Amino acid sequence: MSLPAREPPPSADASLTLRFDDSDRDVLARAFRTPGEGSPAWRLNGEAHRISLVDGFDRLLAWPVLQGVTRYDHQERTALRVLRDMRGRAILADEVGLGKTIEAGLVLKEYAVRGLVHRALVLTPAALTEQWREEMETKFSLPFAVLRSVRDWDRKPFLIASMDTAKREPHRGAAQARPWDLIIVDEAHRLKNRFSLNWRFVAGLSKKYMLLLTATPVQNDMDELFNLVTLLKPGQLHTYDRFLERYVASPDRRVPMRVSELRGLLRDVMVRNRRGIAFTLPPRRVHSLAVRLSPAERRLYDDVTEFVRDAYWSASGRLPWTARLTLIVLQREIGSSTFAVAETLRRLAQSPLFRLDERERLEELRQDAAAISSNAKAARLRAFLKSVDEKVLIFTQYLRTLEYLRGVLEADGRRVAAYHGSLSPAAKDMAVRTFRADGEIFLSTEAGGEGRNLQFARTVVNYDLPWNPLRIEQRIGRVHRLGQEREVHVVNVWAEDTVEANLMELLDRKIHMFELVVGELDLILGNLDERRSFEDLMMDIWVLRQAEERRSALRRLGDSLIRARAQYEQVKETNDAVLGDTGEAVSA
Amino acid sequence: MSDALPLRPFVIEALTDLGATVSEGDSLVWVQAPESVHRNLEVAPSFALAFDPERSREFEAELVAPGSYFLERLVSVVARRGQWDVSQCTVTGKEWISEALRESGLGPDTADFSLVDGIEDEILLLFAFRVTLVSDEKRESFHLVAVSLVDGSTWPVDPDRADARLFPHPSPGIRPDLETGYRLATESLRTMTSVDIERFRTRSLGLLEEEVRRIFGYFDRTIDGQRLHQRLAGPRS
Repeated sequence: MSLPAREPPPSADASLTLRFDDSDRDVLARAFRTPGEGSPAWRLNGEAHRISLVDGFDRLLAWPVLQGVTRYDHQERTALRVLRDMRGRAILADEVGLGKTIEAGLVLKEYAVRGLVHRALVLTPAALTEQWREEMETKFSLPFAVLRSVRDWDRKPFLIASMDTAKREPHRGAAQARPWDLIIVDEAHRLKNRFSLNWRFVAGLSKKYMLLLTATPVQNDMDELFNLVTLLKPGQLHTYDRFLERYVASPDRRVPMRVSELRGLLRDVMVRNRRGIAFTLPPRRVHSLAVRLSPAERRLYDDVTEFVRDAYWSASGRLPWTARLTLIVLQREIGSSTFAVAETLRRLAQSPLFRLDERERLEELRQDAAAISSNAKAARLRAFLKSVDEKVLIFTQYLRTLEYLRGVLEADGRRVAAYHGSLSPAAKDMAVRTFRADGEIFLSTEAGGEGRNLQFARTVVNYDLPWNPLRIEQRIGRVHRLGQEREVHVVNVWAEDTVEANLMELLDRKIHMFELVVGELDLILGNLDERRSFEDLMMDIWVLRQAEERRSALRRLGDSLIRARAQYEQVKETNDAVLGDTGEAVSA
Repeated sequence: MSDALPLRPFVIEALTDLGATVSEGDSLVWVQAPESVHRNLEVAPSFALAFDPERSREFEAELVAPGSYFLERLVSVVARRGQWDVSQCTVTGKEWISEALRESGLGPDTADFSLVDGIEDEILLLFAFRVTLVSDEKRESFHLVAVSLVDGSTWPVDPDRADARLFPHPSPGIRPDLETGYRLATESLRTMTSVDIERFRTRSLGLLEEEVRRIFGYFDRTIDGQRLHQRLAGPRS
């Protein structure tokens, strides 16, 4: 007779006794009175229970079901350490690019598989909510939803919310009213101040396990480290007074004392994996292919830009938010190719978002775009490809640009594997396999093989440049990641006097973004004292009417970026000095 | 999830027992399931199963691996069935006696038992228990306990051998005292698991006490420190 399992309620008794499931009585009552399902069913019932038994955290169970996650020893060790030794409360402070998100996902998945986590909350900056949702769904098959309304706190057991939204009413009360099995806080250095709303909000959440993710637990001074650790484990670093007295050199609160003793305490709550010598990524080499647009392309680019500026600064001030977004799309598409922009122009020429005269102008622009059959950037790309004798990844944001490039490259006799969001999972697999086995060119849209191993190639061409630098970084990250052993080449194709030229000025010349390690850019941009997204900043500069205004706005943004990078470098140094080897050097 | 049993035979047998038609390919298993089954498993009427994660994208196959959604569903469906059964063990000859004694460590390999006074029918009850211990972690174990209602004796049974030599008994026509058997089995289970449970309890409580001491200590000392600061600052005018 097989009796169903039930989790007994926790016991605080001096002697813990087994409690039996109430439904056992029903089984006993039914047995012999109703026909059974047969001997095989009885045996299979037992096997079903045995197969689903959970036995502590001796090993990770979830690896086989993860999709597109390369198995790295340091991530496995970290997850096991958090599960076994830290009992689910840890600061994951790996250096950038070593996969903190994967480690957090692993821990969460292991808890979920064992039935120990039924409700989980991820708190993250607003810009990263969708990225978290996508990663948790595609890699870990965890059905997270992004917070949209206050009702979601009740309805969605796996929720991702921006910290800024969640910490304010009515969300704050709703979030704190319910117990959570696990809370993950990304960019946890934003909890550095224990008097801040962020800190108090997280402290007020009822939670069983908690993971704080940050590459830089110490931003300015040692108080921040105390606040972070105390949020996770009150008393681990003693009281505040005792912490200052014992571990902080007065009067400069940035300098630690008794460092090895402090690190000993931190090891109980923090994992910080660092790049060992064998784990250092090979360098990136950047190639800039500046292109002069053909006269027809130049004219169209300027005309589209003029239309965008006119509509953006429309005297009526009636431009709705959706129309502003549309203008951004238009400007981005013309930066990719005339083929990308033509269809949008056709659609907008019929859109009620615009006045009749504007629609007529859009129709003229569409006709101009349709009349252009060649592309100066494509010519430059083809010339570049003649000098390359290895596999190349080419990224574009737009399917129409991809289709055009595919046509011209195949006409050149190139073996092209196309990869885009409209393909089925099987077709995407096939594209990657074809490229690996026999392809020369992997031509991809932004869907570009998230999580797929493409490290067997090492050259990335940005045929157009997304205005969000993190998207550019994701492209490069397809090949410049753990497992890459050769120098990586990043080739940027861009046209002079365009938004993309501005991007190159800021990202390449000012902060040398293309040479950063994956993850560092995120931290640098986080240091910008700016609430607007980087795309919005670019657009706001581009739509300024006077060239001098645009130049000086660009200069100001460039200076801010330089300061943000310097600040990041300083914080990195501080963290190395304070935290040092609280984890281990990754060496495989 | 345990790896005590291989997944593939279990999944194929379970689906077949549920009424599905299963055909095995090299890397994938093809399944046609009746409506009640595919609805419960939340899959299409015809679907493929992959036991290798690398192959699960082919034909949009359902991945079968620890932690996969399909396996969770299947385990849940299978565990709701077959909660009781009646089987019969028919013994002939006397070889089984020496074999059983040998396996129990009670007789030498070469012993020959020729004196058998007689063989009587007896109803034995076999109870399966899943024991779950939960604190910050979870530890589970599976136990089979046999009960003889004749003398009230109980003993553990190896799950891998539980159904050896058993054959379905089509028409039971019996009404054993299940309540008594269940009580005896649970008492036996308590004894069998008491050491593990005590170890788990001691460790969990120890960790909890340490945690509570640290947290309370932190707040107590913080309050003391604030009082001291206030005293040193002197009375406010």
